Amino acid sequence: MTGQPFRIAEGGRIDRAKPLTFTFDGRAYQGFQGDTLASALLANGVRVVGRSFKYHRPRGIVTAGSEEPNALVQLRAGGRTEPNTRATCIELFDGLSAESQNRWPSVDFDLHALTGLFSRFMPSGFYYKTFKWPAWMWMTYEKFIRHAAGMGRSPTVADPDRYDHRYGHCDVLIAGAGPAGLAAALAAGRTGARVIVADERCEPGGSLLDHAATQGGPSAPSAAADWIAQSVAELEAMPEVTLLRRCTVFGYYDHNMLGLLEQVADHQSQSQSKADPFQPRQRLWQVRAKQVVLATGAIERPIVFAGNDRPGVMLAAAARAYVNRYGVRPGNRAVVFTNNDSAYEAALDLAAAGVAVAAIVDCRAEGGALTETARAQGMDCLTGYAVVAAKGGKRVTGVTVMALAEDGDAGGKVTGGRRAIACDLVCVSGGWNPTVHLHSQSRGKVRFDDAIAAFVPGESFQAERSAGAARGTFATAACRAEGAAAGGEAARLAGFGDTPPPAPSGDEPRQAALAPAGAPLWSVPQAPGGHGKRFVDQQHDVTAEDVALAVREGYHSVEHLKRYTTLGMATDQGRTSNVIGLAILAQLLGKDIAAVGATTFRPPYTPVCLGAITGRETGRHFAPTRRSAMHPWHQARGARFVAAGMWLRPQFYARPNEAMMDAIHREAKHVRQHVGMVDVSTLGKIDIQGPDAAEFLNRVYINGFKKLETGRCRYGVMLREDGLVFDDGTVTRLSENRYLMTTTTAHAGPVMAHLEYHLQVTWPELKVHVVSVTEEWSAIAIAGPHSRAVLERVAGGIDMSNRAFPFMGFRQGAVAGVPGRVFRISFSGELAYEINVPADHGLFVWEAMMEAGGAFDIIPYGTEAMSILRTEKGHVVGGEIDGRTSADDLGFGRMMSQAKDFIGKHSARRPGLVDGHRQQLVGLTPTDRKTRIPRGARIVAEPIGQVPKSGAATPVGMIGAVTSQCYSPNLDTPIALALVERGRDRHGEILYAASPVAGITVPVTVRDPVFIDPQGERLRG
Amino acid sequence: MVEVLPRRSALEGALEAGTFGAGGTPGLTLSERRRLAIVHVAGDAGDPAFTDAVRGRTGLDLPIEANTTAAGNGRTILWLAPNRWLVVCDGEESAALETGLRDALGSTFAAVNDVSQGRTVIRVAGARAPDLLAKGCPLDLHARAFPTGACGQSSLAKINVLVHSVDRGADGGTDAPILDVYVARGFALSLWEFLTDGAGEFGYTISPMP
Amino acid sequence: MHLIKCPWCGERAEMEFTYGGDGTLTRPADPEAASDAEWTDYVYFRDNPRGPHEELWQHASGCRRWIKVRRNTLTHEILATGPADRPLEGNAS
Ligand SMILES: [Zn+2]
Repeated sequence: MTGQPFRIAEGGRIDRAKPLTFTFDGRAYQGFQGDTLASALLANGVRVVGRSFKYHRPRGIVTAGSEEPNALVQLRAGGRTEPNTRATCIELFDGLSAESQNRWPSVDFDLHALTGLFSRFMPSGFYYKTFKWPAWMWMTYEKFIRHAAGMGRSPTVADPDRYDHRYGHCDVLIAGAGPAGLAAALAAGRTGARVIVADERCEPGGSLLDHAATQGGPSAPSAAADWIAQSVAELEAMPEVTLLRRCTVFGYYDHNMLGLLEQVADHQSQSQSKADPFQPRQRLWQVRAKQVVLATGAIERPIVFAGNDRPGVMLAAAARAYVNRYGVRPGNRAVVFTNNDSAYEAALDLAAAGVAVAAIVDCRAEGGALTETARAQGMDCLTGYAVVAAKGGKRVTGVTVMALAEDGDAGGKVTGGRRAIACDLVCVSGGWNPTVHLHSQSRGKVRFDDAIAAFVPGESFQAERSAGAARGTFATAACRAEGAAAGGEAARLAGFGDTPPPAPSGDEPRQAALAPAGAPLWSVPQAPGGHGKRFVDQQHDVTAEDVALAVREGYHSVEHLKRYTTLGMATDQGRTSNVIGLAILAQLLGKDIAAVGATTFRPPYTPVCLGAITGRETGRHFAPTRRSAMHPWHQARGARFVAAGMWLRPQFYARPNEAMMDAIHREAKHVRQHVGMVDVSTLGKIDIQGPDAAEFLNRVYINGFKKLETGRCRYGVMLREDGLVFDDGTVTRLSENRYLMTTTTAHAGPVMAHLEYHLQVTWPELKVHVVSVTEEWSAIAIAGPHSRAVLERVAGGIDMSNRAFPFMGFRQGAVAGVPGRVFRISFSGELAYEINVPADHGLFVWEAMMEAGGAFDIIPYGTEAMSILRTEKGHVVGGEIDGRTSADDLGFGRMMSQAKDFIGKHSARRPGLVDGHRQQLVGLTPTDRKTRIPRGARIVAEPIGQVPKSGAATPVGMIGAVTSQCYSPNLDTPIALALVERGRDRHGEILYAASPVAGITVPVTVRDPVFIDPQGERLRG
Repeated sequence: MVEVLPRRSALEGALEAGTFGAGGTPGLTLSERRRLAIVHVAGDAGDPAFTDAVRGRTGLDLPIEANTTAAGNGRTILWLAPNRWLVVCDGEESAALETGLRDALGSTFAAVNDVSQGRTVIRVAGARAPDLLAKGCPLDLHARAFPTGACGQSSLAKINVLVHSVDRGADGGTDAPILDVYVARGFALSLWEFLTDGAGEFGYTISPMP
Repeated sequence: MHLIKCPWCGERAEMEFTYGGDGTLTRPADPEAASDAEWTDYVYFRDNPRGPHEELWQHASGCRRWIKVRRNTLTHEILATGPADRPLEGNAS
């Protein structure tokens, strides 16, 4: 444990009564409640916090906010570990542990830093140029690159924390709670509008929190602090205002939908989190806002000069935040380098906090509004000068300063003698970039404003407006005024308040002092003979020389430059580098920045972790599941379940010590010999009523339904309009104008939408109502020679005799005392019935039938046995109805009515669907009646020998494919259904089922697809 | 027959009465409304024969305006679509209601379906009720947008639901809202698991079933 | 992420809807009388305009009505919505 040598004795928004212990790279330190990891590290004198991406140069803390390019750490350990977390955003908590990244073995001594010595071999497009050939070496290169790149480690175990989602709605959403955002929230909130204000930091106030004047305290009352406190209190008292702290508006999507990430518990220690295990760590909001105010502030930009990445080179506003807000001296002796006035405020605050200001280097020949104030305090203000280089290794030890030959631009020259100034802190300010990211994401245009040398929001596309620093207005009073106007306008447009629209505020005076006077200085040229690296993008190690090289190589478009150099493509998305890169590009091309254009900003504004995106949709909440009323019974009987769409269906019921295939074969055999029951509640059921119901059925099925009598069922096939088979099922006429349609489990939803489409769009004149009743009825299929006998015991009120209740008949009556519906239909090919009862009674009836079937040795069977039974019977399912087969292909050609129009009829007669070469449904058996026919095998006419396991070409002369296959326990032979070219003419032929996947070819005999009871005697018996 | 045969809810066994989740005053109460009669009625809202017949049997005017309901006589009619409604009664036999409506409608072009056992109704009550549903439902459930008597169909945890704003309570609705969630029976348990898991952070009570 | 105005239910989240393709198609009243060109136009050929496009959507998680939506495919603006069984109001471009 060390002291905090850089902690200022008093002041700041930290709670010195609450010391916190944390570790960085295994070493313990102390900080205070209210610190960030970055401020606590600075307080402890830790300057090197990571190594750079490409050259592994030591890097320190540059900013005090989410724009941080360097101080990325691996936070926490185990399942909670998170790489690439910005130390400047991590609120310190007790027990926090973090590690630096991109270093080996340590940040202080890094072997990869040797790369820096060879850095002339790593120019722009280095990866593209070096590693592109030979291709087979890529695997080797990639390993090297990945290891060299570092960038933290992803966790290898599951994250134990909870993440949640929620939707939100509001009249006005305000992004940012600085002076403009708070003023906007007050103005909007006072109208009674529903307002959400979200700010990424832990307390509202924005940049005001970083100013000395806001720190207040009993000895120094502060108007700014009072205003923040009063505003927050007023907002929190408003029932319709939601103030979200630690909540970043990260994405602006279509139709005013915004993504927010609320870091609910990221700032809490593990013991605090444990105290409330139901609290999510993070909450992802999807907010639909009628109007949006973007009060996202501005981000200070650096100035490029040689050695500008040395630890201790920091943005001026960040240094100001550290001394004022956190009570930390980021150094003892500072040089301030600026092109504008705002850095003078930082210099004055630093001096007040006890940091010696060695010099203010101002590139403006005349200095600015605060130059004289600084001089009056004894500061050495070098106007018309620039820092040409920072010296030092793991921390800056001084700067070299030269005069600028001409005021301004990067093409300018440095001249005269060199002056060395010793320092351990360089505070840089190259002006301010309004945070236009969300505006740009919303499809709003940006335009370059020469007055502040930055992009500002242009024309809006969605219902949003920017206010305050986000639109280039920097003075606090003006920000508040603009925020209030924007909030009031947003509320009014959302229907609240009747204040007249404010006068256009575009002409309001900006605090000109904060804008760079004259042309801004983007980058300082090398001093004669100088060769220090001049970094534009510190996170991706892109230098001004890299940009120049890319331009020489012809990458003149901003999008090309970005991709070639990777400028701005790191996790900070170029917050502090993009505009400088553009400016250098513009200068090299001799164009205006406006003409070069900006790259497009895309969500997320700051990284969003996968846990937040996943939310609670993990484990059993991954997707909804659908269960039948008999589910508990299946579960109790050890059924293994299979997902069929969202339904969970019993796949088979294994007995103790029974293998899966044995259970399946036993079930399939038992049904044909005795009797079995299967839960078919998942089949779609659609109630169709109305005087035109029969006409409607006629139009959607290939076969006719007008002659179907009440109390009878009919099998039907539905086509799509392109003539291919869509679905099949049965239709039962319940009464004069009422029918019940069943669909396959998979197509229940699509068929319903199809029927609704044609009733609402194609034939709205038809008097028909369709109602899905799938969930109302539990459905049980009972099949096997004893099924009638079992039913007679539970449905005594229905005459089950073959004469009274024939195949494809329908009766209503009590089953186990429950009013139900009994259909004599068969999927298995056995004597079979389907029973529907209201779902609350489904389990009761199932149990009653199982009990009644006891005398007949009844068993439950699952979807696997059902599949074998239907394959034996040659019934088609999804493998055959795969969206490519016609009714004729599947043997339904003769069902197609000639007398009526129906969906798909016209297409079904086009040449491609009727020519004789189409693949038709057939049955297959292996010639040896032993070898299983491989799943998905291709059918070929000529034997092609052993197909090798891999690298095999597609079997030549492919004339079909296996669509379903199984071992038939009832025939004691493997069987298959297949689609084979002219298959119906090939019965008796020997073909070959070749599977490159299984690596075998099986000779098969082609036959009729109905393997069992082709005359239908069993099901009619 | 049905009178002596108890209906088995999809949530049978899942409802364990008690107080769960975060400590403090529970922000929510979850319960199931069992043994409701729910009848789906489809017909032409512009046909007086249809509307008169429904009024005759239920004593209620069909709510014609979208997302609204009509309530009285122990019955509620919820709007589903321009030609579809749910008639919901507590304490009435669903078969009687279905038959009664069908008889009342006679030869009028309409469709009546008893869907009582195909729907599960979960009641979410308490100050945090809208917050719980907002975890998975994009409907705006604020009292201004979803006042007492409003209804809306949407998706909750990727499951289709009908939400009925039974009562927004006093104080403009933020006091103690009661929201009924209608869900297809097969999804009921899955939705229940989503709701109880999500309610943890608010603290919640599950009411005992009578 | 769209917000689509169902003519009945009002503005609702896109996730409540399913997409149904080109909304300008009309099934030939007598398919047998349709020329091959008419029929293939109806079944197969679809425009993929850059800009306003008239589409069918179904309010699948809501009232289950099919609706017409005029949407700008470039900007995702929803320009008009209405019932599916009648022409959409306003000009297509
Ligand atoms: Zn709708």
